[in-house]
Amino acid sequence: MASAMYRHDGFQSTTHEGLRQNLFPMRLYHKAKKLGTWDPCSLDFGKDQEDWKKFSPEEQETFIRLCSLFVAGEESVTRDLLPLMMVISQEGRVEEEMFLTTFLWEEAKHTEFFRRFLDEVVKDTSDLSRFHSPHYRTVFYEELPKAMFALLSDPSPEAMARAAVTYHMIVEGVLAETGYQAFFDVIEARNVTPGLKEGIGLLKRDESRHIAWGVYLLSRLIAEHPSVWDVIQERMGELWPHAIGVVNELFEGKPTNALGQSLDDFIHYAQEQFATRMDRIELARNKSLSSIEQVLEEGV
Amino acid sequence: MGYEIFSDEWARHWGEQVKQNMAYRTAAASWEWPLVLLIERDPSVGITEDRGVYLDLYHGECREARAATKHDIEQVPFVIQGDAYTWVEVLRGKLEAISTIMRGKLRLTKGNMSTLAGYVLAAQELVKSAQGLESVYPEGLA
Ligand SMILES: [Fe+2]
Ligand SMILES: [Fe+2]
Repeated sequence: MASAMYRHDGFQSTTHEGLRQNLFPMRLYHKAKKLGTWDPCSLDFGKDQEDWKKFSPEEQETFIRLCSLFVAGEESVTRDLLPLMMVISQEGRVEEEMFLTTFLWEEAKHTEFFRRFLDEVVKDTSDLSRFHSPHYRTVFYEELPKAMFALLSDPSPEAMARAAVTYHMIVEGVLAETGYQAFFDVIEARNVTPGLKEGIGLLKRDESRHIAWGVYLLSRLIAEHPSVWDVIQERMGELWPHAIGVVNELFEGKPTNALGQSLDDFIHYAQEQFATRMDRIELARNKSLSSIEQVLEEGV
Repeated sequence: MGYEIFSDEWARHWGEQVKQNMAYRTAAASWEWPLVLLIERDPSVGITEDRGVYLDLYHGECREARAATKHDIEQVPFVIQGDAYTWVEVLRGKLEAISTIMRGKLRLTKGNMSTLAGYVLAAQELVKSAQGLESVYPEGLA
């Protein structure tokens, strides 16, 4: 980019509009300031440490496996968000950028949260990448960073859509959310590791805001550029084999794992949430930009 | 000239395409169950009764493809069904197949989703083969 472009023609906050409080991202920003400020360091892992000693070796192994996928996934979304933020910033969307400052901070805390559990409860400092299976590697080592960093040289709506599908719809929306929900349910049903449970509960709430923004972004892109719909379909098609592959690898061909989680439940969770979001995104094909920007969506 | 979607002729031509699809062969190497794909009755677009395609798929081979009978629907372990609009959108590439199944717009009315989940690539290749056909779509959706 030519250096002449590195200047501001004005500032949103000094225009007659000021900050547009009725924009959906701005509403998410306000929510994040209230709900996203929890501190991973203040969670009490005391009972978690006792419970850990009572787990069977198979149960421990499954916990570590899941945490190794979660912690690296969180590190990956922390490291890979910046190019998207940069495009939003360059487009002058200050309200969206304000929300994204909370987003990135939260991803960093999620990384910290799982690492703290590994350090203080599991006490495992071995190389956990041994649990990163081939499809997991394709998604987190390759497809996610590739789609996000492609934005540095190509900030087009199509490239944005590919990045958003990868990051928000597949990584956050299908993999993270499904994984966390299934993990949360097991911990709750067995009444173990309350510190971990509390953290995952808080983290899930953060993720719902992230995904809500992803749905917003994709809807906005479709309303502005209808052909983006086809790009979204194509990108989903590219990623499904790997996304579902990650889940299949986790179960290694068996219907349940050592924690009693079932493959059926995983798929079911993934379907439910995905359906709702894609239906919302599809609605944008027939909506105006302004009705999307100011949608009064609750439940975030 | 083309063939009306989900007709017997269309199904047979689809079977021929699947036979030539090497990517399908690899992706479906361990799949061994016949299935029926069903388009639901919708008189408003000229589909006066449910129409099904029967595919006998075994270890990467398409052993048979034709219009499905009622007996087929009862016998096969997998049935995927949806309305005409959704099928047409999938066949035209406006809706991606796996997303459409995950969203429940195409429904697995018989069979286990977890089993199907192991064959995502195979399912995508089946659709690609169908997209290679010269298809005639129902009136009103053409
Ligand atoms: Fe996160
Ligand atoms: Fe997130």
